[in-house]
Amino acid sequence: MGEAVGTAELRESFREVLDDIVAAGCVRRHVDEGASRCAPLWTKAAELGWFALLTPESHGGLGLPRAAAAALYEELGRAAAPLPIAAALAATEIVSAFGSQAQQAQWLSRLAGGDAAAFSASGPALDDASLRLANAALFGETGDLLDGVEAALLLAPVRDGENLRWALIDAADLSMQRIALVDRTRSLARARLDGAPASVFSADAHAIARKLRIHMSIALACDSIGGAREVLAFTIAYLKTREQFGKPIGSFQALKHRCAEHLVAIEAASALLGEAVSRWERDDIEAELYALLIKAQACDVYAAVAEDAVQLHGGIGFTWEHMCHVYLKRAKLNQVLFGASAAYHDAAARLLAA
Amino acid sequence: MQTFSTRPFEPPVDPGVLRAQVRAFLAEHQPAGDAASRANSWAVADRTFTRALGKAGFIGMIWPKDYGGGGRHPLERYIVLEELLAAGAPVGMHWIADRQGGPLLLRYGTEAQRRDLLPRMAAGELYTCIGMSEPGSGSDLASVRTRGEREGDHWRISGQKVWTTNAHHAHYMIALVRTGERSQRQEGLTQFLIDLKSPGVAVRPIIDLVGGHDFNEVFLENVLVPDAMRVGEEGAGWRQVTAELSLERSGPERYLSSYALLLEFIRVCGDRPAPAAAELIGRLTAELWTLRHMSRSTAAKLAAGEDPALEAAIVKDLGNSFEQALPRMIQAISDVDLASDSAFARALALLLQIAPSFSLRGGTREILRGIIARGLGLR
Repeated sequence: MGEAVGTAELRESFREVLDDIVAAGCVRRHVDEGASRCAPLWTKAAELGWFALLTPESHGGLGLPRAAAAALYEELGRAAAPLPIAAALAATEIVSAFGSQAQQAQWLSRLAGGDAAAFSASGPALDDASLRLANAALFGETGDLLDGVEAALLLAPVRDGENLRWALIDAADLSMQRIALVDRTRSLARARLDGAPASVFSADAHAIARKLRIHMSIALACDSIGGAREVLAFTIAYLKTREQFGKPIGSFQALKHRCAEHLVAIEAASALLGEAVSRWERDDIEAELYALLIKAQACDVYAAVAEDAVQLHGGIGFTWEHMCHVYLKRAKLNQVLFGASAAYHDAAARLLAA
Repeated sequence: MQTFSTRPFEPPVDPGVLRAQVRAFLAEHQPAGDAASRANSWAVADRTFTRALGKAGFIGMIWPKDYGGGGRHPLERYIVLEELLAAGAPVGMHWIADRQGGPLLLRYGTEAQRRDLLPRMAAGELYTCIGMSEPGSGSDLASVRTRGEREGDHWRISGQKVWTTNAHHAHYMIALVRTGERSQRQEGLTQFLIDLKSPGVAVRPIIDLVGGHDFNEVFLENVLVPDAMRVGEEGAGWRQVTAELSLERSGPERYLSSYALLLEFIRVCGDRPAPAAAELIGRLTAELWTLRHMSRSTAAKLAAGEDPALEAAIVKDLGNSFEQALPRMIQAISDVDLASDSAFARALALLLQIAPSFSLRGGTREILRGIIARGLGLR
């Protein structure tokens, strides 16, 4: 299945930039230091307009199709890049689709310029919205904000009396507490809102939630496929060079068959992902179903490949020094971000039954 | 033909009394901690705990009393290990000395070595590590290149060992060294006890993927080792090492590394677990009981003087698969709070990270399957 020419070229350009970032040791240093922001990557991404990929041209963006974002997510996953961009692009979509003119004017160019956004990664349920709206101000706490401390914009469901609404909150108006994760390429945050001004969407809260969920499901699936391919590639390279019993260990059937199985699983997930992205791009009626299915499948495949890579590398795969664990931890986090696979399977089954 | 014939586990004493003794000891001496600190506890080294355990007679239990041991039956030791591991006690400091170092000296060591070392090992004061793997010799152990040349009544040893667990705590390394010609491979290997304080020894840490320090690289540069510290006959190293592996592969540590998480999961689920949780608890318990039965049967064979190498490989393969899958299966049905700092969340996170290594240590899954297949006559 071929990629549109424009997207393939874009992918190539993403990859070149990320290869340079990786070669400069930026990802490695970020992980070793447990830093919250990878400044060289972020600066570069903002300069190159990655944050503006989906922003309408009328707001100074590139107005590209969603497949461009999907390609970026896959390349970021390949590099295990610490760049909180998916939530920013998802927020861009929401503001473009549902925002008032004022909301668009206030946020779209900031997001396009490289400001990050955050929302809760705890799962698709809206029912436990914990922020209360009173006199256009918000009160309460909300958690599991993916890369929250880096965000300029918080997007959150809020209770307005009986109504459930989504609101935009300027991160400057709230206090954010960082929660470090095992996966050091990302972090979570908890926000406290004590009268922060809120700009509320009039659109149906569930429609916004659905759009966010589709976007993040596909983003994580792309990240997972990119990561899984990279892990398999460097594992195979190792199996070709490491010798035991007088030959490369990759020549042993027990190991090469496992690599073949991983490739089969990755290709299957990748095919489903291609279908999901294409349906997402044309707002197909079944885009949500495909997004749910591929989130679970791609993340599970990634975790399985990354776990087995440790075994296939022997002792070296279990060290801090080797990159195996960076991918393993990212894969395990992808599996639970925005809800675990079982919840996605349930949701997909409900859609099928509806 | 049944490959895995079981043998009854019949210790000569009332297991209940012994279990009560271990539990009383643990109530007094086990450091406070939660499920995360109890996970994979045979890799957790704690000098104070080990000394107390030695004092109580729970190290070197089966060694002769003449050498400071307890003169107990192997199955009594097995019961004690089960209790210690199920409780998540930090037994890593003395684990290698108790499991391999002592038994090796009893089988192949000289009288002087036994008199000198065993009493201190049993007291929990002297620790050993195992120097087998090298950068170029992992699964292919017979390819070790660390080289020993005889010089009068000494050996001059040079080379590099890697993945040496607890070399930074240990007093001696039991090293597998090439003393014969390279072409002979398995024949030219000899075991030595290398004093890690000797000139020419350098121990460097290898930090693991959770940021912990268990592994080391051990560099040996012209280290002079007295011939009196050779273990067993010159050239008999391979035979000695492979005999040891049955001891290493079938113990309760091969399926209990994730046990603390299972207990915590059951606790968190409470009296009325959701159906999926109840089903998983039942399934894991059934597997655990099966493994326990197989491990105890293998212990009974070892105690009766048999060499159940095939059974030991089966127990390790099955046990590692179980303890490796357990965290993943629990994660799959749990609604994990990402930001939680609970004991359950931390134990789960720790085990999800380290579980991939369970099928590496003590012989990879691939090596074990090769042994099992050879046991079936497939070469």
